[in-house]
Amino acid sequence: MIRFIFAAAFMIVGMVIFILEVLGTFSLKYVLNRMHAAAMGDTLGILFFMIGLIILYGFSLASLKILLVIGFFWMASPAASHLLAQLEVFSNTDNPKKYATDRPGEPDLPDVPETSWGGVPLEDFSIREDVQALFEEEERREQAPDDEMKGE
Amino acid sequence: MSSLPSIAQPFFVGCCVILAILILLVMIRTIMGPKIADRIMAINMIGTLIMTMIAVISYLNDESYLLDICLIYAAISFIAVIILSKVYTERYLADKADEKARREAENKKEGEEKKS
Repeated sequence: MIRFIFAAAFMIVGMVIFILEVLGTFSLKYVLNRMHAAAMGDTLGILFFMIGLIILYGFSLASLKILLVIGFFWMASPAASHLLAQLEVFSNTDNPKKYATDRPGEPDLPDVPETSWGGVPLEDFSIREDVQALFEEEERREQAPDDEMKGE
Repeated sequence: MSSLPSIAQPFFVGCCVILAILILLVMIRTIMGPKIADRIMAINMIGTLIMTMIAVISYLNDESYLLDICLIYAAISFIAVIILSKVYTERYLADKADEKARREAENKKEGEEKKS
């Protein structure tokens, strides 16, 4: 009985955090702000909920599995959030300053130069050149198929 | 399962119902989301909520092997988010580079016309 009350308390806290997460997703206006709410539910909400389940399961193999789930999520969720924020910063074309700062009195971040996105110059992304080289090679092969035939 | 009070089963079922309502709300966000990052974020949240639901159901039915499915679900959801973000980032960068190249070509053409 006491064990159930403890577990239910933890699970209710987790549930409240999940509800706050969804409310935050609807009330905030911009993707990066919404991502903050989502990451809260991904880490804190799942931690409280799974701690409640661990208390219910007691000392067993199932508890170990739940601990694995928590550990995996605490490592995976920040990585996913980071990549998602990177996507948002790269693809934000209308107002690059939107994610800088909007507090009064704070200096704005320096302007991002036109040739770069988020401070990373476009030339640094080598995969683009690789794709370009592949395309060029394919074009060359299409333009001169007879030469290859002669060579063989 | 035997030492639990009689409130236990309704409590877990209520947890599942609240989680289902939350999943429906997040699905609305997935459809509404003005940007692609919104949608991917909402998909990630749906994965988290469904994992929690699977864990509750595993305790409710006393079948602890459902927790393995929970773990696999977490891994697959993580991979989906990573791959979608990577693919869209590459696409936007490629579009940006194409646009830049086109603008440079136009500028060059205009300069040649002015010279002639």
